[in-house]
Amino acid sequence: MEVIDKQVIDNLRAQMRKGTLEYCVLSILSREDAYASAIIGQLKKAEVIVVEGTLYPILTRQKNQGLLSYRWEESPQGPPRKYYTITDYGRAFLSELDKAWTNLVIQIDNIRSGNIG
Amino acid sequence: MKITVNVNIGGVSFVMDDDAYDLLKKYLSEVSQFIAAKDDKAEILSDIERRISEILTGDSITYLRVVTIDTVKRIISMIGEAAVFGDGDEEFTYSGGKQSMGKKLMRDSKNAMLGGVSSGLAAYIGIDTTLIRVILVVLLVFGGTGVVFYLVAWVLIPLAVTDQDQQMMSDMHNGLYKD
Repeated sequence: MEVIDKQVIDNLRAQMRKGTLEYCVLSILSREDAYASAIIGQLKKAEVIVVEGTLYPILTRQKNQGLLSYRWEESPQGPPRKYYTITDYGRAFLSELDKAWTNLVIQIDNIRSGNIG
Repeated sequence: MKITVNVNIGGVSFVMDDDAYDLLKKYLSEVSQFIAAKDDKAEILSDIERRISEILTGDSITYLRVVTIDTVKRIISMIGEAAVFGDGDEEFTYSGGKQSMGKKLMRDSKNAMLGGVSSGLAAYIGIDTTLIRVILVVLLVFGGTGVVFYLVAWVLIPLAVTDQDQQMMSDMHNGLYKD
């Protein structure tokens, strides 16, 4: 039997994650407003991301797409924090993503269990 | 004894060792090069600066002390190498780009008996190499056309040199290459 090429697996996993990361961010913000480090904390805890850098371009993009807005809040120590809020448009967008995700899980499960047709 | 520099990171003032400062400056300029969305660059960079500042002020080990190169290294490992700021598609363009590229007729040095002409030709047409060799030998016996053809082909057909060409060659042999 051939040895599984770990790099290929990592590549595929990275691709799978890439698509879901934006969904995770919206989902976290749909529960409460948060600043970048808090979002990072949750993503790290859930082991969705390893390094923080991936998050910043996503937040900026989602804000520019009108999915998020933000406000500044003073921090007890350190620089002011940028608190992100999900917009109404963002919520509508998220509910579409929820549906897409549920469907995807069902479709994959059907394929995995051979339960097609 | 070491030289220190005073820097403003995300609106907060820090004192850094000069080697720590050089490393951080290099890191930020690399990040800046990797950010794909040009319009968002300034905003993303200032978000990252604020994050660095937050790590430095929130950390009891570094708070109110000179920032050392080890601290900068730790911050970089938390935020990630500059490459994570690319849009992440680069690593997949190889396979994507390969499919859109047309088949190339090349000499195949890896399976060559002489100049790799037969093997390269077989890969290109999608037939067995031995068949080409048999035809060449038959032509050689009947008047020597095979020799002339072979020598001309040897000169004209380029050798598969790069990794990508050799990969294409092996895929063509295995019938995996569609264009």
